[in-house]
Amino acid sequence: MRKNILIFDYGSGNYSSIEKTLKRFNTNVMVGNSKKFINNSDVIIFPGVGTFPQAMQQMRKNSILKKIKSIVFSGKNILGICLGMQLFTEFSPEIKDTEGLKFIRGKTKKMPFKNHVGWNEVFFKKKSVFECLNGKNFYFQHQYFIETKISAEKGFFKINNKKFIAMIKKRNILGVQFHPEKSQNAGLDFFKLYLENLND
Amino acid sequence: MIKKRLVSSIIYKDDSVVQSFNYKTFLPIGSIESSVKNLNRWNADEILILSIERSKKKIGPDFDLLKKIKNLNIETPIIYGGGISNLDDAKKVIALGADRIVVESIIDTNYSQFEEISKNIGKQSIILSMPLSINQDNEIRFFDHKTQKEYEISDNFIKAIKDDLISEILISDYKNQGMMNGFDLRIIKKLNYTNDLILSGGIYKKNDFKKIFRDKRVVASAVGNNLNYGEHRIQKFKSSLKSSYLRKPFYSIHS
Repeated sequence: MRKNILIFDYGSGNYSSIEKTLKRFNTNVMVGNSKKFINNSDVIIFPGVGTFPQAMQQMRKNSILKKIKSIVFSGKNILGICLGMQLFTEFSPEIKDTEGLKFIRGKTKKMPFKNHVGWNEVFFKKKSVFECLNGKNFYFQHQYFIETKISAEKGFFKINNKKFIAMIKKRNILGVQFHPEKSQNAGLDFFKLYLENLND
Repeated sequence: MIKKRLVSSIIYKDDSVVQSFNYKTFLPIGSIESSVKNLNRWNADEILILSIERSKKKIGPDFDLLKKIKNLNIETPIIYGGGISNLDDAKKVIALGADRIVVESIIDTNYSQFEEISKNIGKQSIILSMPLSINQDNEIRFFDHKTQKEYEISDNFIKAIKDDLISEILISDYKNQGMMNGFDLRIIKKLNYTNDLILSGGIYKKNDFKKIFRDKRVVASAVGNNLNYGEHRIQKFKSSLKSSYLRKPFYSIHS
């Protein structure tokens, strides 16, 4: 059955890449942030466009924060990409200190290096749904990263041999720091595996 | 390990992709759609599109060009430069599908708007363009496309770097742009910035790449004429370099 996928709109506008990529997998793709869209979706994607405070403000402004939280705790599949994953944490210092959605106990922090822009290898665990992508290069473009000690499936990228979270999966919640929609073949394979293995 | 990138650069002028030589002579190549689709299929690390003379003519960013690209299935990161003169321009360019933007003229014409852009879209998305050369007195000179004259690097450019408002600097060796003479390494030797650098101009042979990547600040090379106009040139070139610093070449299996 075709899945209904909602790309959550923070009001930043650029969702065409991710929309076009998802449509290649026989899905119905919606872009919006209304309660109706949230109810009608099988999967909600929080894209990696915009800034942390602006995205949180948009959710508060539309009074949908509670709705999102209840629907996620009820088990709906959500995927956070880059900023989208960072929003799942408790807090971010980006621009100004801002509380997040708190789906993941942990914090968003500024990278201890200049930026992380470009292609880097991602290491997935054995028996992960994404195991076949272990060591593949994905495209990154960020200044902030997430740090958490919760027990969850994690994938990593490395800078100067230091490990950072590239992917975190806990039940229906999946976050990635890289941009699968900009990662060419590896990204397409990632979406394929994700959509084939959604949490029931 | 973060990989060094081969950025495929497209020069766009008067509604056509052009082959450029020193930004003075231009040879029309074809449509933007074909160029971008090919580079995406050949798995370029990033595609840099420079729509030139937009600031000089004061006609703003090339939204029509971006709309054409938005309609394509592209999974390669897109960098756009040309005519961005305020925050609204930058937001529209991002909304039309660019992942990163290149700024140059705005630094001297509207620094406060440049600061707003960095704050709003994030410095990871901003690349500062600096066309540079070395003169006969062994001094660094900045080439102003609008006046077609050389100057010292302006205080605003230095401020933009010191204020930490950008992610990378795109240094064009404009005297060697479109030529096959190699990048003038004296330019980066004279620059004491610690920022990540993307180098462009004159880079053609394998040895040119090897030389520029010896400088640890150089994270990418933007190449146009050499890699863009032949089937699978990017893969072939990467294979010949055999460098572990580059993403391995591969051929798309998805159509």
